[in-house]
Amino acid sequence: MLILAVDTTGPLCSCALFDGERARLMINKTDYSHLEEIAPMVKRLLAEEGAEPSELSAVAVSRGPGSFTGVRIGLATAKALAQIWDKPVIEVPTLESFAWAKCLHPGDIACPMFDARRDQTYAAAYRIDGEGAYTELVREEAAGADEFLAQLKGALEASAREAGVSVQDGTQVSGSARPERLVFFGDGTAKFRDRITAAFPDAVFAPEGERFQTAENAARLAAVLFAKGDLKDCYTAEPEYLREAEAEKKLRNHELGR
Amino acid sequence: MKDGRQLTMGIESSCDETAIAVLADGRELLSNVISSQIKVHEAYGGVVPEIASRHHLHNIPFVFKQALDEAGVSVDEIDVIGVTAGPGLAGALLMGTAFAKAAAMAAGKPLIGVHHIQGHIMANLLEHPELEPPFLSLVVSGGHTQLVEVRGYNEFKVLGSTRDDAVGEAYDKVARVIGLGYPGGPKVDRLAREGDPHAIEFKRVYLEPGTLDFSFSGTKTGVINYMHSAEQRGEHPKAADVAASFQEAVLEVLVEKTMTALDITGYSGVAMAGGVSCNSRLREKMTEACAARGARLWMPFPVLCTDNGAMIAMAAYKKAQLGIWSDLHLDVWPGLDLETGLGKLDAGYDAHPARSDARKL
Repeated sequence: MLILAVDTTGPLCSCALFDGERARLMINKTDYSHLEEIAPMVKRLLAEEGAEPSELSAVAVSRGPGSFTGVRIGLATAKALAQIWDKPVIEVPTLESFAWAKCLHPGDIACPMFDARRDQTYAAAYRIDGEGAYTELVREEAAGADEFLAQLKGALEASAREAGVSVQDGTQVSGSARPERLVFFGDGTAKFRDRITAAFPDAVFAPEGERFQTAENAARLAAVLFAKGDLKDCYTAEPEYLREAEAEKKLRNHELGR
Repeated sequence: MKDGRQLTMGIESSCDETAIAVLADGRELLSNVISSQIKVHEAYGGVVPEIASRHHLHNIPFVFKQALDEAGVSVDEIDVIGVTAGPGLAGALLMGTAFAKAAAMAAGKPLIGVHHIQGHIMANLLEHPELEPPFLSLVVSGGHTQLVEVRGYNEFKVLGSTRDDAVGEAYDKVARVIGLGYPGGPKVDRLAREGDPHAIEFKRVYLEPGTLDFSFSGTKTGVINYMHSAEQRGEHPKAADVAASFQEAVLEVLVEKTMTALDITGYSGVAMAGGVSCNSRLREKMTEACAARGARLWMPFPVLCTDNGAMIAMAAYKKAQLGIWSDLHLDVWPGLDLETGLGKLDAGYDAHPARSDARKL
């Protein structure tokens, strides 16, 4: 198995090759030049790794949510690559890909929060059960930051009740050898930092190098989806915006100016 | 290359059509697939950029396949991929360009970024291969109104531009006011055929003497005010007369300014370009005016006047002949200037501040 993944949904654009064991990530640190950089980066990654397109099992793409434009650059790129190389496409849920971040340990809760503008966030939460194993605590959604944080608190309390432990301030205080950490990721960590620490005083922020989405995490999740046979192609792969276009909403609510 | 012929692909997505064509030897159109989103945007009364981008993304692999299938060629046989990199809606341009770049990289083909208006002008060569620069061009579309001196296949001098609305934009607004809806151009044109072009004398705006610039907002406002005061008086003017009279006012200025441009430049003819050059009354009036002074008139087929991939393929073919290539770092430029901006599309263009860093990666 050899997967090529691209991620252009966040502040940094990246591509990665993953063979099931070893991953090679190429990341561009220049903010928002995704369109310019992604195609040349993929070319260089393949050349440097000596990988032939014919060896690829699939092209994986971080499908969003994220910046609408960024999401689409990745999809358009992946569709073209898959169409010309005749490969399947794997749609990778961007928020879920954070469950594969290296800084996480079993017992941690991964909380990716993106800045969705208009004081909203695209967010989700996953409990890390073991290597490559995790449970969804809060399903991906577009919500107000406070709304999401309240939902997270509720989910933590419910899961603690199930496990028969008590919870204070979102931090597990008994019943486990190691206190669980709430690890926040994404560009929402800057925007909503105060609200996060107000809701969860012990919140941990992912180290800078792992703060944002990467094609490496996307590739690791893609490998699991590939094994499950969860495949699309260049025609059927679709982005996940988590939000309709503003004009669609207005049309639905009959608010369009004529 | 197929059967010894050079194959150029053209990809266009700057507004609301997703279009891809394959052109052989810069002469024969093997396919010209256009997926229009007019039906989608009709409900909104105009093109919604975010929705256009979403549709481009969905449509483009289908259009790509159909363009190859109809041409009966494989992607390996394509020699050059051309794509509109500006001007246009940023999000819409991004879709064609992102796809074209990845396709060029994946297929190992050279890439050529094309200026959208350059494409419109080059559409004339599909029907008139004998047309050679220098010549004069009148570019009229939903987003552009320009008189352009075509000095070479990749060299343009803008002689005059609209200072406010593009002519197509004015059509869209007038269509809305008289209850025709979107898209205004073809609807006004059709209705105007049943009306009297001199029923109402709307203002013709020529601006200061000697200028080749245009202004259409005054004429457009004239129509809006006319409809408004008629309504207050409880009158219902005949929509066909309003359409025909508005159109006459606008087209008269377009034709006269074009004739002035011929006088100034001394060129023997003019090539029309852009969506509004399908307008039947404009074609009629321009034909008459050119015939009266013995000037040549070139017009693309109507299907090649509106946005299409064939014109982009033709422009890319000409750029390839001149040896002007882009590279995989090609960016999009929503406000790309026809006279001064073309260099931004060329390989080696390094003015983007972010770019030099990124290349060191």
